[in-house]
Amino acid sequence: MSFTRLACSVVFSSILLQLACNKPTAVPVADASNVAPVVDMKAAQEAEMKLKMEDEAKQKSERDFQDAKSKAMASIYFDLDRATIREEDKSSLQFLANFLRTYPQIKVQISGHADERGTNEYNLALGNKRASATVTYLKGLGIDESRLQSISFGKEKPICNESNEACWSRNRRAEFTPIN
Amino acid sequence: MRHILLCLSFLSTLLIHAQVPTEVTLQASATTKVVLYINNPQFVGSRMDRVVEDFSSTLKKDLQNSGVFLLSSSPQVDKKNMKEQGIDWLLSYLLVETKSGYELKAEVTDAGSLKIVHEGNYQFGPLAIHNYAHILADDMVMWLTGERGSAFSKITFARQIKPGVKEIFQMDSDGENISQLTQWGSLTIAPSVAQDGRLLYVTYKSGVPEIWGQRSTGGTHERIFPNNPKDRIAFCSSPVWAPDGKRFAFVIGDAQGRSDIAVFDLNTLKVRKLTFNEGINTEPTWNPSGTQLAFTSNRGGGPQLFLMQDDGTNVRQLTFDGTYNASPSWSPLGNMIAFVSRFESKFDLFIFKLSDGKSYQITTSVSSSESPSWSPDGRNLVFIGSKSSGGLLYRSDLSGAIVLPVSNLGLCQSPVWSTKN
Repeated sequence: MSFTRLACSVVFSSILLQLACNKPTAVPVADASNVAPVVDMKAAQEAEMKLKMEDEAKQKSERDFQDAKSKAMASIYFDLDRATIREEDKSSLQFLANFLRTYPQIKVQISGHADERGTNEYNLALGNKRASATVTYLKGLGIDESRLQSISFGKEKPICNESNEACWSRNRRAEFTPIN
Repeated sequence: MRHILLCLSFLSTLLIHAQVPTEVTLQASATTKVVLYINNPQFVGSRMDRVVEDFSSTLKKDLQNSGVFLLSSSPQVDKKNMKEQGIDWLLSYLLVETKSGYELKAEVTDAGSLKIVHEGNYQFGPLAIHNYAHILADDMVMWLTGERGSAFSKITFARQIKPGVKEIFQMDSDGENISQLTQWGSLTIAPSVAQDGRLLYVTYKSGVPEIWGQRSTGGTHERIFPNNPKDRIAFCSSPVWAPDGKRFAFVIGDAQGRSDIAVFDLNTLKVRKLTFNEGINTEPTWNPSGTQLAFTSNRGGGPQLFLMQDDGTNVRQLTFDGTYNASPSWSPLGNMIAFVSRFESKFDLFIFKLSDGKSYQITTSVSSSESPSWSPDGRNLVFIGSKSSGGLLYRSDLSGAIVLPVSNLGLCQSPVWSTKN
């Protein structure tokens, strides 16, 4: 008998002996809930897939909502000393109106702003006129007035601080902020 | 008699120069100034050097700013021949340290007659040295013109703390003693100061514009309009105390974008609208008796100045030249209205004289000038310099010849010059 075979026999015999002498102990059993029965594996995979798809759909919906919100909340702009809605901004307001119809829980604050070339107080009144003109236009598109809050900041909150037309035209605006 | 002649000369020069509109006119204060020589101050007491230096420098600055004195720069003067040296008045004063503070004796000698024509005695505590220099300066103006000067006065203004956050500040009219009056951490603008010092302003601290201020002298700041915070107002701005301090004019807006002048009565808590016009009506300013208001309206197209009674009747247009005239400020004497006129995107200061119905240009369009407010004595205007100047406060006499920064504090707006209480 080779040394290897002898060693194996000894180890095997000692294991048998130990099993025979030990008190019976509970054999650990895997938790049934952690081990899907083989027969349910396919259903589990389908459920997991469904959850994943639902999650992805939810994420896409959230992305779509955020994209739509971002687009809907895009500022519109005004001519110098004017509060008339420009033709090129009417599609933006239509998009905002559609967005608000899609998400009826959302309210919007509309803030009117002006460039630096008016006096502080006149520009506050002008900002109010711009915000109100925007509210009126959205009401005309069927949005309930209770969902639209206007406020004026005049020239108190410029987004551009240079003294040139490119900058002034960016400051003559109505901004939209969602209120949940 | 001499004072009367000086005043008449002042007024006649005003009228003569006022005949040519849209030029730098109204140069009376630049041409009729009394040349003043100030003797080296005398003092009695220990450690007085700093006190005397502070007092002297404040007094000199006040007298220069008064618009009626020209300080002689002569290092020495022959007191027997002052008139020949172009001097009109000689001021001498003595500061004495006392147990409770200081005593000041001042006297003015007429350079022609060499007689003492005015003298004053003052006693004051150790902490009020600047104020008493202001008081002496105002008395000097009083002795000369019969009306007090504006050295003992203050300027209240809004100032940007950080983007989107502005607070109300106050300083002495010489730019000293700056203090912050509000700490709302929000957009807080458009201050107005009643004659008894009560403050009024607009703050966006609750998310919408509201008028806050003091109902009683020295009282806490509280919401004044709207009475009920649930009454959401589309828009309110530009509160201005009436001279009686019992009501204030302001601008109230509606959902249609109109903005109208209204008056709020602090006793009845009622609002009375004075204008019912389509478009913008804003920037109300009271006449000194509180019977009329000037305001800005775009009812004819662009913004122009209008006038009405305090019940909203008898509305008439004041300005017709130019396409943008705004920011009216009624003078303390009631005879002039300062305003700004826009030309090529910049504002210049003008004065509208009610007696002849004409406008006179004060500043030239070197830089933009906005939001004028009169000194209590009506001899100077404070205004905001252009944005490129960093929003500094400037003061100008009525000729526009002397334009000086009030302080080096930037990012300021909407100054209001008022008496000190």
